[in-house]
Amino acid sequence: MSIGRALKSLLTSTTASEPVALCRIGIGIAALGRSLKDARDLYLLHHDPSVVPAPPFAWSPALATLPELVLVGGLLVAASIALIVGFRAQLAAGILTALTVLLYITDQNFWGHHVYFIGLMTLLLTLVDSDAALSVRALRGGLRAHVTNWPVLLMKIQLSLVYFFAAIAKLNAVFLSGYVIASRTTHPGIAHQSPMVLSGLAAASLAAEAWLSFALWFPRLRVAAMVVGVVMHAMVLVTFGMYVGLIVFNLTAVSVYALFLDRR
Amino acid sequence: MSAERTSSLKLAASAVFFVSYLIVQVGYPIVPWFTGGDRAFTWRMFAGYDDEPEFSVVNDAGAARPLANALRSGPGTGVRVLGPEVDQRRFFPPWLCAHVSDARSIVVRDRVTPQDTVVSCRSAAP
Repeated sequence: MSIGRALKSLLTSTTASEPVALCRIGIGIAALGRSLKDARDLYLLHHDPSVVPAPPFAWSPALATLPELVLVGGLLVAASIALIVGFRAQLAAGILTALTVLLYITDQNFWGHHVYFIGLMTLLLTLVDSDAALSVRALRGGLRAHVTNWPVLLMKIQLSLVYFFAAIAKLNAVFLSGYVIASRTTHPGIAHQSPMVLSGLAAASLAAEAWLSFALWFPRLRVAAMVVGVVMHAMVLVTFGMYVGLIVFNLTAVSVYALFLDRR
Repeated sequence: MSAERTSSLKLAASAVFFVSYLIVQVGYPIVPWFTGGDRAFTWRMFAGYDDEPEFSVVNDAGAARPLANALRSGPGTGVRVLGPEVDQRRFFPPWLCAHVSDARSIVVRDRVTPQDTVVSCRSAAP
């Protein structure tokens, strides 16, 4: 089969709608947490004198007036809720993606791996009927058993790329010494561990990410991979603290696991 | 426009998006493999590349006052940021010079640069 035909076959294939809907709900919940934080941060940026503004460009919009704050904050929260319940999910995902771009050009205080990751996921959700099941739309008679596969495939590939590049980045002496865990942990029990234990934790997290980057794709390894992934993401929260950015990142990653549940 | 033509264009647009997305998402995170350091959009979180610089404000009398970690500071602690990827080296010196009344210079120190960097408030003023 030629590359063109293979690509055409891939682009016209479909996947089960329920795993996509489950993923949409998880990402919607993560987006809601992130939206509430962004709305608060947008307010703090202009009302807390101790916050250092960091507009990345000379032409960055300020978004400082009350109507602007209400509009951006309100849209973020409304779009997140719409994504969770499955009401015009593609439009909601599109709004979240556009607002992510707007916040990125507004101020570096909104930059973060979790914002970028969830921004990519909402971008891809604009391209798929994620509300074809488990949604307001489905309850109104818009239920569909299958949806376009290629944006779903990109979401799965993106998760693997995140794990792969994160694992490669950790292949350095500073991380493997346990220094990053020791210096960044908020858990006193972990902070007081010996260097050997901290180094072992660092190596284990690297190995888990490297393994997850491919194991989710293999049916025989999938259940084990999901268990390892959930434990690893939970450990990240225990180790580095339950703050919004980290919760959003980990919830988004685990939500994408649902896409690997399609048995076809 | 016929339905067949619309379908072909949609398929072509999907193909362009699919391939472009993969090229960017596979290609860009490879850049820091060659340049080193931390870089946004490359999934190098918690890997030991973010140097978290420390800042001290030197006043007119020459006394240096170190600042707390701005990322982990709460409300009312003087100086803080709301996200982990703020380029503190770029934004802090001008802000400190403008907001600390007797600041003469800002000293920047990090784990990877062997010598302190001193930024004069005369040159850093916004």
